[in-house]
Amino acid sequence: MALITTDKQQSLLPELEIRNLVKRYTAQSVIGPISLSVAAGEFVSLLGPSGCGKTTTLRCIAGFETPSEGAILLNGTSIERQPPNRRNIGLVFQNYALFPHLSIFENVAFGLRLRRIGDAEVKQRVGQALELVGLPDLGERYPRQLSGGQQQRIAIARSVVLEPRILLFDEPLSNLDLKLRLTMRKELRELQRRLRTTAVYVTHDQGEALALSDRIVVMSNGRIEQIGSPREIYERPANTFVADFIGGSNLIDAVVVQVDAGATTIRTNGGLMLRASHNACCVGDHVVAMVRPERVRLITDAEAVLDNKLNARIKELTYLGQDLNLSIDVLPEQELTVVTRGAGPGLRAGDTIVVAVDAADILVLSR
Amino acid sequence: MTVSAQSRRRYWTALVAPLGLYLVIFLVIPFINIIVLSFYTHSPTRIWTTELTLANYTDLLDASFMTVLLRTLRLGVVCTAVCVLFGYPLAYFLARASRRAALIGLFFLVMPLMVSAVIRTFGWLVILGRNGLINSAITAFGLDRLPLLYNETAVVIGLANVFVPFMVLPLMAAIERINPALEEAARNLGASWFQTFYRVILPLSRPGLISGCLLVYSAAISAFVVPMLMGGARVRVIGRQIYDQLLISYQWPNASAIATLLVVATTCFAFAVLALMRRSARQEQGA
Repeated sequence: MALITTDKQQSLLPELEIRNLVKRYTAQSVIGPISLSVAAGEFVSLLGPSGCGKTTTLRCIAGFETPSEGAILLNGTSIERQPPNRRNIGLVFQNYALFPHLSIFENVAFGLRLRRIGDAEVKQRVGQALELVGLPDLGERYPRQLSGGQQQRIAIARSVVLEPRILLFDEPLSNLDLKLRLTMRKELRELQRRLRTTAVYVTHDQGEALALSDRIVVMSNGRIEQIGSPREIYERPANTFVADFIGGSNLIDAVVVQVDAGATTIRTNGGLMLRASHNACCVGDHVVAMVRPERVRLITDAEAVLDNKLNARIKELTYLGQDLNLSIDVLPEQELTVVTRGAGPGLRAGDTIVVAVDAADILVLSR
Repeated sequence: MTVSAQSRRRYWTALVAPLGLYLVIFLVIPFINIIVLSFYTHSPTRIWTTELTLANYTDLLDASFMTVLLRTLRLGVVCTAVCVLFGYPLAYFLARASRRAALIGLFFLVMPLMVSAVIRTFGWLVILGRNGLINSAITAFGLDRLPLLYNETAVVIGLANVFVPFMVLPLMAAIERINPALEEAARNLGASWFQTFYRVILPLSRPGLISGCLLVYSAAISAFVVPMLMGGARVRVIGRQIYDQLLISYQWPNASAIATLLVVATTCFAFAVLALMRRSARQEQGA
């Protein structure tokens, strides 16, 4: 399915294009410049900590904020001066924003009524929309009688019924409990695929972004840190911010001591020598080596390993059910976090172990 | 259980008793007195005799009193409408403004209430009078004077000036409780500003609107100083009628009958509106 989407993306112009968007609040607080293209049918997440500008960007697209500079193009037409009610861009709110004085049916019918669509068609389209979100029988109820998950589905139906060109999501799942969040996540993705609507999704939850997106835009301090597929973002973070923000990571300050063809040798500040197989640059550079906790392997002494075999002592164990989380000291001053699956039973704090990291799993990032 | 319920009742009694007692002595008893008086017979020499009669009420069917009554009710309606017209935008602004701006706005809003009615009304006379600010400006341009005082318009201006805060305060409280995201949702779904107001803000702030209207309307129909000073003899209202009957004609039973009528009518009106409101609220909850 992903392949089909990619083919389609390449054959079409970007549905949504943001060019050098800047929003200035005060001299100190500036969002942007942000540039981003979203292809038709693509699911793009804006991911970052609070205050990173992701919501402002979304509100500029929806028309609730006016950009200080830059352009927003929808199918090649500039929309940044259009009032929000003329844009035909759906928005799903974090707190659902259902109208408490209207029945579920009338909530979903709200946009259709504004467009003066006949009763018969309203009834049919609202029925379809409610069917689509799996709540066909709730039309007579009122929002306060529904659970959070049901309310969010109705909010989605209310936007989808208007067949918007783009659907925007402003942290739509953050008010739901964990289990519901996981179910809704899956449903949301399926729904978006079925409707082939372009989606821009704002979240601070990396798990959500990784699971839902075709591409993720990682933001911090009003700037884009990296744009890439979930796999690229996770496996090849562009910088330490992305590495640290997405997933767990060991970040170790180091200096490049040797650069060969396809391999870099670095020395950590603690004196540890590590071999990394990519991102070679110049000898003497101060860098940060990144290792994902699950890429640190526990090995037996006899096992033959090419790169980065380290002796360590277990400092702390945290049992997480599926996984075992270890804090290990590879040197008195150098601690690593290790996540391992299955190799748990024998281990105890204070044990001496041997770990290894493949050269391919060490990423050298500029500081 | 009974003990705690009992002590709780005692606790509530202690909280409510002072005001309750005050109201009984200074409101309920005098009002009962007025009702009783309205059934006594008028006497030119002794003001009233205790013979019971309905004459004070049948006298009110007289055409000249009906004119006064209808004029008073009309003024109440117009004044309420003017307050809604001016009050809604202001209430919306204050509800959505920053704390600081809202505080400053509220200060200016209630300022008219801090000035005595007589002083404030004389202020209007200075502006609207025959040689007042507006007419001097008009005559300076060689135009004819406008009759700005001693008509119903003048009374509405004077009343609305005082009663706008009674409209704005409950409206503002109601609008504050409306999640701003609802307005954005409406806009996002294609509603213009007016449609957002009509379909979201208005229905959701209706309880505030109704309380505001009740307050303004009941205050406007019982107003006395403003109609007397700004309406003059031509704009006679019920308040003025009661005053004249009481202090000029010494028609105390008749004045009592008018007062009773006014209170009963206002109370019935208020209860009817509140009952209507409660019913629509119940419908909304889908009960």
